[in-house]
Parts: sequence; C-alpha cells; structure tokens
Amino acid sequence: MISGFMIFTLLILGNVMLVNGFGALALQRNKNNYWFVLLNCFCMMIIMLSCSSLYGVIYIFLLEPFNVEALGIIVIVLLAGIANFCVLEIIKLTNKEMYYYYDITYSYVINLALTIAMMLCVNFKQSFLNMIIEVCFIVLGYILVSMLFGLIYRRLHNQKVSRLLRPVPITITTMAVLSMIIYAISISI
Amino acid sequence: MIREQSRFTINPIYIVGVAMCCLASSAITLYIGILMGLITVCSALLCINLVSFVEKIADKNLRAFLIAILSATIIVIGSFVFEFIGSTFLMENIENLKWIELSVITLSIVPTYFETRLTTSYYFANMLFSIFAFLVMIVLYSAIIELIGSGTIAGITIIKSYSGFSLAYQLFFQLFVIVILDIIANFIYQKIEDRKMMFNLQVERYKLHIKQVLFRKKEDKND
Repeated sequence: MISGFMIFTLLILGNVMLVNGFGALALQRNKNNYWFVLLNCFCMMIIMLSCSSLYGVIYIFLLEPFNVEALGIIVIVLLAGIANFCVLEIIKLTNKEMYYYYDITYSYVINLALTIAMMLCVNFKQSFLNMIIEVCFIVLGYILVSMLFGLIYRRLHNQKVSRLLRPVPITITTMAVLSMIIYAISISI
Repeated sequence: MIREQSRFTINPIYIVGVAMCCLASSAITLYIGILMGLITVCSALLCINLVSFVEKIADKNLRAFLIAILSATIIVIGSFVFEFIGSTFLMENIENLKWIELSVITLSIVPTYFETRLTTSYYFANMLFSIFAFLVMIVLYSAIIELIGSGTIAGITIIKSYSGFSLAYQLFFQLFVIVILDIIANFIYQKIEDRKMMFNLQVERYKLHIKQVLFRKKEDKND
C-alpha cells in the first residue's frame, strides 16, 4: 500500500533527479521556450514508462531466474538509448522547430542520463504494479520540478548576478537553495 | 583562441559539478572517493577515445549512446573483477559502481557535442582538464564529507565526531558542498581564462603594431 509519506518521498526522489543537475543542464539553454520544457517532460514520461515496464519484464523473466542481475545496467542503457532515439526521430518528423531546440540543447544525452538515473533508483525486485507506481511518482516529481525550474529560470536569467556566481548557471545555485528548503520540509514531516 | 572561447557555450566546471552530483551519495570517505574518481577517469578516457574512432561515420547522438554502452560494459567488468579480488572494501562498493555510468556520460558531453567548435589542441586540453578536475574535486569532496561526517580523513581522526554531523550523509547537504566547491573552482578557472584572454589580446596588439611598422617601412622605401 502506498502511504502519504511514501508519495512525498517519491516526489522528492523525482526532485533529486533534477537536483542532480541533469535537468538543469538542459534548462540552461531552454530559457526562451516553455513549450519545449513541456515537450521534454512529456517525452520523459513516455520514455520512463515504456523503458521501466520493458525492463521490469526482462528482469522478472530473464535476469533474475538466470542470476545475471549484474548485466542489468547494460540492458537499462540499451533500452534508454533506443527509446530516446525513437523519441528523437518522432520529434524530427513532426515538428522542425522543436527538433531544432532538441538538437541544440543536446537533449538526447541529457534525457539518456536522466532515464538511466531514474531507472537505477527504481527497485525492480518488488512486484510489477508497485514498480510502475514508483516510476509514475518519480516521473511526476521530475515533471513538477522541471516546470517549476523552467518558470524560475525564465525570471532569473535577466537578473544581475554577482561576478563570482555569474559564469555558473543560475539554476545550479537555485537548485542548491531549493534542495535545502525541501530537505527542511521533509525533516519536519 | 578567443574565437573558440566565445563559441564555447558551456562551462566545463559546471559539467564537472554535475558529474560529481552522481557520486554524491556514494563517495562518503576519502578512499571511496579516490576509487570512484579513478574508475570514472579511466572509463571516461577509454570510452571517449575509443568512440572517437567512429567520429566520421556516427553522429554525435550515436556516439553518446556508444559511450554509454561502453561505460556500462566497463562497469559490469569492474564488478566481476571486484568479486574476483574479494576484498571487503571492494565488495562493499560494488553497488556504487553503477553511478559511475552517469558521471562518464556527463563528462563526455563536451567532447562529443562541442567537438566541431574547438581546435584540436583546445579540445584535447579541455577534455583532460575537465576529467582531471573531476578527479581532484571528487577527492576534495569526499575528504570534506568524511571530515564533517565522522571527524576523520583516511581513517585518521582529525576532530572529535559529533552526533549532529550526520547531516553530512544527507544528499541535500552533499549537493550544497558540491555547489560551493564548484563556485570556488569556477572562480579559479575564470581567473586563468581572464589571464589567457589578456595575453591573447596583447599578442594581437603586438601583431598589429608590427604590421603597422612594416607598412610604414615599406612606404618609406617606396618614397
């Protein structure tokens, strides 16, 4: 059964993925196009759900029975890479402007790293349903924080920043501050 | 040199910071930090150099994917080697090896995606700089976390441990330490870049001056 605390923890985990900086790397270039941020979130949701379900099935029927769980990371990377390639090709065929943003913001490698990171955090030893619920909450947390950072970054990137902090993209400093706030909230709960 | 820097849109210290975030929760003592750092550096150098052989036939996204596959293979081989050696220290850190995958992917972003914008020497210097800066920073980070968390460095007690120091093992505090280290490293990096830029400006100024002197001499000769 999923408790309220578990829901909050999973949302925080989604934030940790972004706080780990990968999402911030892509957001650094996306500052003028909020639709691209939404598209990215949607793509991540599709990729994560499809990769996790497929990997869950492979884990249950192939890796665990034959005791080759160590090869799991190779399977994760393969699935993540192929899924991201499929998404790249779909975007290329459907919308040239979004594909241009996808290309110049090196979103392929960012989404690849994010997918691998999120899948490494999921516990695939539990039941399939629990695993899917965990993945959904991780993705939901990522989407929430990604949209929040998109809004913050659009407001902050024109502000005056001290010379010491200026070359470091503002997202990493806001990320650190936000992470401390969320830590304080989780401690109090 | 100035032209390459203006086209270079991503700060390598930021990349190093993000790569460190992946190992934030596992590099909690100095020895583990050194182990993780060395494995990451070796994997990154090996993967980037191997994949550069297919630069002409594979586009940048495919190369990033190949780097990810190669580093995953290295990690699997590494875990088998650790099991074979059987040492307690290595066996405890087998689970942490998977996070190296993310660090290697992050460190390979600049060599893969910004390759065409850089000259060969700048590309090579940047790749070596970011990879070895990562090693130095992860070692510093793990030493700080061990010092704050248990009052020791490499097992040697430096200060008395305190129960409130358990904060050092919380991910959010660790990310905060990474950001501080990143800002300090970035400050040093910007100072070095400013000096290089000033030197290049001086060189350009002298070149112009020499051209003007030669031009005047030529005019005097014609007269």
